[in-house]
Amino acid sequence: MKQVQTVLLLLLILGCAGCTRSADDVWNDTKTASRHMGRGVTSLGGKRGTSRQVAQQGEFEGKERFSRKPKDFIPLDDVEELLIADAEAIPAPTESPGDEGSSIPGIEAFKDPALDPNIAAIFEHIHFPYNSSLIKGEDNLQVLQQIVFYLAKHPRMSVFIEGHCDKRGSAAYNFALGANRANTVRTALVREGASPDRLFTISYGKERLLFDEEGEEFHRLNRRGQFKIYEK
Amino acid sequence: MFRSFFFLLFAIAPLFCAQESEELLVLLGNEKALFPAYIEEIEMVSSKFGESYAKQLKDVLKFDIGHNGMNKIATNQEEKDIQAALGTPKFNEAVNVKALQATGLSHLIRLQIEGSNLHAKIIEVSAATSRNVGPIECSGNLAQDRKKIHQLADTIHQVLFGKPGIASSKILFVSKRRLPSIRNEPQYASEVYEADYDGQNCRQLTHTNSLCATPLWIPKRSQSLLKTNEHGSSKFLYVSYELGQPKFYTLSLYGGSPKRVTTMRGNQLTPTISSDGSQLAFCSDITGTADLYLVQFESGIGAIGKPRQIFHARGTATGCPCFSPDGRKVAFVSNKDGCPRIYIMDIPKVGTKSADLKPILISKKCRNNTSPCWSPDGKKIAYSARNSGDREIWVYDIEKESEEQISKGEGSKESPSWAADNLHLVFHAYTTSGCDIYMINLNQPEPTKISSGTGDKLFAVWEPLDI
Repeated sequence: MKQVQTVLLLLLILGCAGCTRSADDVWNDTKTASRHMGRGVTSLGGKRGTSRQVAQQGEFEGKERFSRKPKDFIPLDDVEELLIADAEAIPAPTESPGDEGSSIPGIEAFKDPALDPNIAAIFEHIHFPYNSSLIKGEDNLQVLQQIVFYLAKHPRMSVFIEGHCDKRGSAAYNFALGANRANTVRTALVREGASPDRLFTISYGKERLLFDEEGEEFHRLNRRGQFKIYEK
Repeated sequence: MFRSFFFLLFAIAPLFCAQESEELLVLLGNEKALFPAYIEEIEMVSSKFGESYAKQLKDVLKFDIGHNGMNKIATNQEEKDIQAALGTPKFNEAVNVKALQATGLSHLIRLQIEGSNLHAKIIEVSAATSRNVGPIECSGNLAQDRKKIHQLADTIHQVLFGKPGIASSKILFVSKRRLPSIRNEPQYASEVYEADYDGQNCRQLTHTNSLCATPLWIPKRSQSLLKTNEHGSSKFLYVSYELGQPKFYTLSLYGGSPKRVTTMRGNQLTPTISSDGSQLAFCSDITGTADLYLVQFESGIGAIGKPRQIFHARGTATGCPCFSPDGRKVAFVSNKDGCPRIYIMDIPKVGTKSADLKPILISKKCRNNTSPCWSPDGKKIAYSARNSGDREIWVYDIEKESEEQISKGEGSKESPSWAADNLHLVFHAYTTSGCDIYMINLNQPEPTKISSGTGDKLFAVWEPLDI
């Protein structure tokens, strides 16, 4: 038995030694591995987005929306398929607010719900972790639900969802991060039942900080999804 | 069995480690020897200008020479030695070259204003040669004369180093001001400005009363197809939040109405134009995630045809594209592998699948990397990166595949933009007193603040050579 163990051990060492890699190889593996961290056993199922089980009927909405070719851009050859498979991707609304011919006016016509005491508590801010567009926490989910509930009662209301970042990331990169934050909120609202054509995103990056001070609590409050509303 | 398992673990562990864990010790390699230069007081001969005006002109030239990336202005102690060697300076008198050589001086610049004409004499001390430059006619209006002094500085640079200088070039930037708060929420507005490379002669170009961001010069080659333009047009492109969602507009430096670039839906952010002006790349969230797009571009028309997606990685933030000088590659930032890093990629052909895109990671030393900017000669990519503490400006050498920190000093530094000489960079930095624009060059790591006044100054971009 001991001899078998020794042989197996030597074979394993030899096998591993045969796979000795350069620092670049190790680095490439390490960075790829970071995508799977925190996903537990689900990471064993391959890359998400290429194939996955659909949990509910509503997740097929992406397919309906992408079944028509977009008129104003050309996607990469497989992106349509990926987005169909990806229930978390909700493309931009068919109209662009303020544009010629759009039934939705520009931002000037939208108002800050915080200024209306009747609805200020409904449209509270959604907060995000650092350098992330994930929505976490019961408080955030409750805000999303109450917004969806309110929008269901106000079918003529349109909403601008603003994505904001804290001051630590660079201004240019934060534009992309802010866009993803706004879109995550939009996707969450759509998955809860809101109409995607009434929800528009704006990325402000870190151009509209609520607090200029340093400190983790100030940073947390700056990393937010914020709302502006318009009712026809 | 457990013993064998642990033995196995220890035996193979080193094989999984990188060859060595390189400790990040930043040594700035750009503190190079510069040529000491000395600019004499301007000699006034029947001049219609006062001494104080002459001093202002000299200070402009002193700044230009001291920031040309090749010279350094003599220190106070060196000045005393040089003055002792020169004796009483006279523009037309011969210089005691041997005495000057003993001081270590490389270049002496003598100036004289005769009437309204400024004459300059450049003396290369080591070669014991001199050359007259000018005269340039001064107006007595400092704003106008500054431009002439910048041109003189560039001529001197050409004479001394055989390359054009950057003192006559300009920058675009955004100035952001805070408005009165509404219900404790701060309000902001920002506009695009143009200034000389030293931050002077500043003028507002946009009047949007909203937020503007990331302006760009439109290369002249893209404007050559314009049929008429009374000013011979120099245009720029910028992002405006006038309608709510950020969209691209073009505007002439000489006024007129802004023109929308594309009618694409969604947010349009961080644009960049290829050096021949024929392609526009940008970030958009039209699919619900921040991806990269590319569209054919012409200054007089805007976007030509539909933008096409050139990079998509689900659920990741990708932005800040910049073209290689030949327009065949893009560098960009993405957090697809965790924290934001810089990648370069060939621009994919139509019909490419996202799975076939193979971006190459270039920023490996720091975790938080953004705002790549490709140098006009294509050899370097500058970007902003944070190792610990403040963000600094780093440069990736494409041939050597190496990264080097080039900036130091106070503030978190972002959005570098190369000058046409591949030596100077302009960027913005957040300090305790706000955000301002700074200039640096690869030979002088200490940034020089060039913006002034109230409000944050951001997103500075250096004028390309052919504007």
